[in-house]
Amino acid sequence: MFNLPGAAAWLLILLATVVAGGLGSMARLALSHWHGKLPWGILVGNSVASLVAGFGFSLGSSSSYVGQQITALLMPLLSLGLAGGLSTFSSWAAQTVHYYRQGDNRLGTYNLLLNLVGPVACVILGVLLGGVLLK
Amino acid sequence: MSETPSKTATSFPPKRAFGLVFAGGAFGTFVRLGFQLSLNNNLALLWVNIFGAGFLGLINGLASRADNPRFEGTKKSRFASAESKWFWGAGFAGGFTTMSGLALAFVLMVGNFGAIFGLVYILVQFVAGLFAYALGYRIGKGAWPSV
Repeated sequence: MFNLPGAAAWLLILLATVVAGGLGSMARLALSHWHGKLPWGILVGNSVASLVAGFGFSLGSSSSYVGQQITALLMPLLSLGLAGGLSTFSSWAAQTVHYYRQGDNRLGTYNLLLNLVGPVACVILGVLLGGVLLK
Repeated sequence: MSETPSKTATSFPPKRAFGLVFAGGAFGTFVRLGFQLSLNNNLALLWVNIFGAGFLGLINGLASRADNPRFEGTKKSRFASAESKWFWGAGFAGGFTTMSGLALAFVLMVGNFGAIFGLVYILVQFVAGLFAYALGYRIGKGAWPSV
């Protein structure tokens, strides 16, 4: 990639991925402010991140020239960095346990199921989107 | 803030929160990459999410000691400050754990091994993550093991 020696390219990708993780986390912090009956901001963050992860994955499996050229940098940066930082499992666990401990079993179950269905649907959408755009 | 759930509306995080969450999130991403590069991805995500949920439970539990009369007079937990919650909670634990990686792994697993295998994988991780958080919280709070 970019005619850099292997180790330098690897370090560059690692650094870019870590920075993308930090930026994704900042976006999640802003979204987490959106907290009504359920933590909607975290659900949206997890779903958008899943869309990005699905799209990033489809870049990796693209057979097109453009897809292959940008995969080396974009795939880890998008899927592992940005999406990984934007999404969170720990905050979801904290909020769900909180609902169950408060006796809000209904809200706890909603939060559990929505964070299963939303992200999974968005991953599929992201893969399909990548497939269409990089055909 | 997101890591300490509340039904009440929270004020928008101040500017310095974003810097701390960026640093913590980048650090969490770095440690997660270590797991993902050295282990099978499905196994790595399992450990990352369970450890991350347990870690957040632990620091939230430790932070709760500040309001617990039982710990009055003892040194206040360093995790009780807002800065610490931003760096270690929203930053590190949030960046370390991943829901998007889990959702992607689930979809790939369903495609490769079938729906039952995928569902067992994701449900085990969900349930283990909830237990890990609750256990971490009880340990941090000082409620378990009782001494």
